[in-house]
Amino acid sequence: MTPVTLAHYAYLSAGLFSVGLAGVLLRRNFLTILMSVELMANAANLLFIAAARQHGGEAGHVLVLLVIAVAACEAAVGLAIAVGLYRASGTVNPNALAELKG
Amino acid sequence: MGHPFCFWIAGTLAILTALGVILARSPLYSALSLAATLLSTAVLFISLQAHLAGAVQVMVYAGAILVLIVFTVMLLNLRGDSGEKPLRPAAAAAGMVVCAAFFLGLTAFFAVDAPTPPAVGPEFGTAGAIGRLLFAPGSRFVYAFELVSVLLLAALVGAIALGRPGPEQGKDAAS
Repeated sequence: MTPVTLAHYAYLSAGLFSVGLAGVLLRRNFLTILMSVELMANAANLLFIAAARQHGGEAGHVLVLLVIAVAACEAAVGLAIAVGLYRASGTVNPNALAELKG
Repeated sequence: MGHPFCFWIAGTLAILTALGVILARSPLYSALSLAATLLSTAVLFISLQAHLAGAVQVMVYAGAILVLIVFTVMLLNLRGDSGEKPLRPAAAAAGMVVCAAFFLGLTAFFAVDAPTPPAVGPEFGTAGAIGRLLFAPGSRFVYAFELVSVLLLAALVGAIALGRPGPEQGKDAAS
């Protein structure tokens, strides 16, 4: 088997990020959108880890731990907003928040 | 750099389950697909000698965060189809074009020839090595770490404040 290089991991990461972006753009379900954002954070983490291995240093691993902590904060606040949205409008469609639109 | 076998199996699985996340009708199936994506990525982390990051990925991401998401899906009782209307065809096509263009742009940016990575010792990626990098005197990451702990506290307080019922809903519940 041909050896795997940094470019392979970069393509995989780009693919995962694009799938997450498609989820954010194309879905109208607040929970699915949150999960797509997690997918994008995960793609960035994969590239951090691959680049850390390429350079032989661990700074990327530290950044991944920080990104995971930020993703946990984002999930907690985002899910609280989802619960509030459901309570206010009875759906998890983010378009229900367009009441202020003229 | 990582075993080719691990890369192709876990990478294919990660892409397929990521597609499952965005294509599933029910948020519960999306969450289960997301668990599979995160576990495949953890396999890739470990094959890249990021042992601590892989373990944290399984415990915190696939464990704690995903349980939070599944718990919310159950709390809101969204197990079936959530009655989501499909986008207008023009909007969906525009979104797909944006994603494809983004992917092509990223891959053009990433098309580099990387040299063979240096060999690393058995200490690479272990908790000890990462702990020294985080907390050793003069570390570049101490302030980032402390800021993340403040952010976690703020998110905790914010989630409680957002999750409480508003004043008029509280009145309804009392009467």
